[in-house]
Amino acid sequence: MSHGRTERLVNLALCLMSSRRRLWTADEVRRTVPGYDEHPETPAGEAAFRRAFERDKDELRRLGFPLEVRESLTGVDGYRIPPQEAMLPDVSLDPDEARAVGLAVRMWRSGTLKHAAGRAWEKLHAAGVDDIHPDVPPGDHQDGTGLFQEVPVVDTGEPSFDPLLAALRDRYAVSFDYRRSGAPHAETREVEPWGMRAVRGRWYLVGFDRQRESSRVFRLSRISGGIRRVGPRGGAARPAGVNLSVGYDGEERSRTALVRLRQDRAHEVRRLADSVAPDPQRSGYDLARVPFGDVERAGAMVASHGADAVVLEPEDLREHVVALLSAQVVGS
Amino acid sequence: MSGSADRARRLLALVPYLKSHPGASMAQTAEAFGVTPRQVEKDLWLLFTDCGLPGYLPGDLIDIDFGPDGIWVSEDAGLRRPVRTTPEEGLAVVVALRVLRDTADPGQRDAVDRALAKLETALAAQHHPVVAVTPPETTEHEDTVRGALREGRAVQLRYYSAGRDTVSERTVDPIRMVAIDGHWYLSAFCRRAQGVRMFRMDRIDAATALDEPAAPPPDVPTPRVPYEPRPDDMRLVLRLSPEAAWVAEYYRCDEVTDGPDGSLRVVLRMHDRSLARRLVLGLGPACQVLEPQALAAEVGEAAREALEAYR
Repeated sequence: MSHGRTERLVNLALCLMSSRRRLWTADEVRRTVPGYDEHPETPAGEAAFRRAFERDKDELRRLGFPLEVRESLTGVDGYRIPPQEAMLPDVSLDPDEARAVGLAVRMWRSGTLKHAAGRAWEKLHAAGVDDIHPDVPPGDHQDGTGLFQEVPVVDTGEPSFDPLLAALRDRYAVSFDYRRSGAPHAETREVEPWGMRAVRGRWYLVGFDRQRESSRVFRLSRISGGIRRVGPRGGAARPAGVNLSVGYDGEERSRTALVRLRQDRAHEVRRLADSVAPDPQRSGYDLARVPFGDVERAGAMVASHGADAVVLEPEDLREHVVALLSAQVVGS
Repeated sequence: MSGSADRARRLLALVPYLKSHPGASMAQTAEAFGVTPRQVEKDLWLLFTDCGLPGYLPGDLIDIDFGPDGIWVSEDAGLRRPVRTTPEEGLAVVVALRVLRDTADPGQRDAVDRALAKLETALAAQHHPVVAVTPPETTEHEDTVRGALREGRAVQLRYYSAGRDTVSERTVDPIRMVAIDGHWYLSAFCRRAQGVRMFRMDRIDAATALDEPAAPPPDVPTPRVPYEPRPDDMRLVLRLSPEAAWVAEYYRCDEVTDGPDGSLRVVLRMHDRSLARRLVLGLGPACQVLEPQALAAEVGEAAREALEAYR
């Protein structure tokens, strides 16, 4: 860790925010801010200074500083940080509001947003926001306030989450390889990202698919091989007030299956049944009436219980289960 | 972010922190920034000796008094407030608050709403990328469980264990309800298992609040995730056809490898052997067990036995 760079960054920020000069050119910064003077006045030293200065400016932007570039009176680039815009505005939170924020920042389990939330809290805390029970982990019942016994946990560990978040922020169009459910191979898609939404613990990208010329929803877990940026920064349009709804294919159970269940077995099937009664034909077994919609989904569930669950009706479901089971006999 | 940038970020927040917490102790400050008191002292020395405004004369430098009584900043070189949040930082707070509002008890929603109203402006939420989290669906027995939690009462549960495909009656001492990855869980001390367990709310088939008080033992370890890998978990290697590719998304896999024909080879760990057997049986021709061989044989035998019943 370079200690010299730490104070150089702090001093550069203070310098560019100070009112002692309207704009600072690179040369003025080099002569003024301690740490840049180590580069000798040679072409190589000049180049080294330029590289260090560029890196430091990028770092200040990453820290949150709005760094402005304008042409100075002498016609070269000048830099400044407007202090009012650089500083977090006044935030005054009541204790219960601060407690809510103190808990909310612990919601992210992993990834960029977990770290971002930690840094945001550091800034809010520095601005005077104090969690009344900072030591009590969210949800622990020892927290005598009775406030917020629960805090949700959200994971953003998908590898494509971070690059997509950056693309959304900077409005880049992106392309990626995407494998639709059940499709044998991935296809390349080119998308203008509108937003991301987590539903039941899974992340989806909503955006405009350029080849299909309409909006589409993509599951992040089906993206492979990384996110590539397409075109310039700001090149992707985002309609105002975009509705990030992600459809969920709820199953309509309009048919009924008659299934014979071994007693005290196949509880997954029993829980879905409308009725369960002992089988008069066969002791040790029950007959269950189970509503279902999709033959494949219902068939997979029944087949998974082997001899503990046997479809008696309807015929198409029975045939599907037999096909699934036969495949495993052959495969063994 | 590099080490020096990380430290610069802390130094830039340290001065306004000490302005808003005048006289803070070394220990308190260290805790606020998640570093050691020794590190705070080093940071203060660096600010004190090397940081300030152009000119760098005594009046331009940051001036800090620190000793056993606490820390005071007398000259701040313009660092009165922390740096504005980045879009990611603001987003991480605002989206989290929105989720908290959607999942909080109705009585607590008001505090979240007030915090949101204040922070959406301060954190410039209008410039954030669009990111949203759909709250978990409410479940049938949520009211009973929430009521028991509020009143500190034990609960009688009928619970479906998906891993073993069993239903059991248990008396539990509720600790809290948590939403994890889009599902609600009840974290509770299970008197039968003599330990804290996570019960997925949509697998609770019946819940009755009892008259007796909830008394979870004070020092039991509390899991923070519903499933943690165990050393004795079985290692499965499966070949999946494209129609079964969802398995690689649904279960956390150690490895996923693409085959040339569009199939996937996945390696995953499972605690319950019966769950592994059911998974493979339900997938039919879309799944082949590569390892362990004993499971492949067991599945084949179970399929043969089941087919007898269809003759």
